[in-house]
Amino acid sequence: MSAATSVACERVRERLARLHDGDLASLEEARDRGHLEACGACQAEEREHLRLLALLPRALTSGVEAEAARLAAELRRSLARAPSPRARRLPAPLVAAAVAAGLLLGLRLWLAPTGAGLPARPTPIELEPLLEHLPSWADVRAGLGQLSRWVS
Amino acid sequence: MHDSELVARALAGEREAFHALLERHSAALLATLLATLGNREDAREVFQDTWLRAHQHLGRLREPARVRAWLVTIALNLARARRRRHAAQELDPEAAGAPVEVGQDLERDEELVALRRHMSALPARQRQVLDLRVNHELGHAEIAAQLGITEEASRASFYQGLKRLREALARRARSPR
Repeated sequence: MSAATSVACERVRERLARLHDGDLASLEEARDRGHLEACGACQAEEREHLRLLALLPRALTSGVEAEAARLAAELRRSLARAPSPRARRLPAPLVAAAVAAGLLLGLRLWLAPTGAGLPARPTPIELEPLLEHLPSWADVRAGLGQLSRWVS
Repeated sequence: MHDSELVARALAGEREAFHALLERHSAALLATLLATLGNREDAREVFQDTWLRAHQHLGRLREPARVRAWLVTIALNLARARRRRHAAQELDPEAAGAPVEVGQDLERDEELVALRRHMSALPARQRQVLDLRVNHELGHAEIAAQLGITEEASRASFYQGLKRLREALARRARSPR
């Protein structure tokens, strides 16, 4: 084994964990993989590394499976009496309030004091008159208050 | 069946789907709690609380495919709360992670026993990171958030832990039985 190869082997073996963790830059990864393809000794190191990665989950959980299964069975019995989980939904009063607020706003715009209604064709928007026709926050709050009393 | 499908079915009212999640993730979760709390009784209680909360709040899970990471987050939060209550101290990486008792099924496999023994000799932080990365497949950003460390520290602990285990197993392979 040449000195250059030995240095390369050392580098590749040192970085095997990073290589398989996806932590190397693409150039470094390509360089290490290129070396691995050509070096039988480093391939053996890589096999050992992969074997360790495969063993670890078993080593981490072995010895607790039986207890976990027993606890899971207890939980299943407890949960049998509980209502099933449900997807999260917005509370009905909130949805009703949002819809009603939209309707109130639309109505307020439609029945603007000018009495002109909507033009048949779009015209360039002038913001100032439009802002005058918007309902005040006090009106919106009052509407929401009425609605929430109505919902409850 | 993929986790996300089981979550969807559980939320549609299929009890068996939630039970399947329970079966699938229980052992890994219990192992993590045992390693984190170092006390079997506490680990059992937090394990049960974790699943009860998961059942209650499953509808809040934003990424159903990542239900395992969500469960680990609940479990570790509950474990921290329990440790604070019991010891009035933060989760101390050196105090946490007492070696888990070895079960009978593990005794049958010598190499797993050896690996387990070498793992229990690792610093607690390395053991926690190895567990979260390998057992629960969390990314280093998630591990960093869970353990209150940097991503770099998570990577360093992971690589260092793996290196020490490989060296220990290699020594074992070379030594006469």
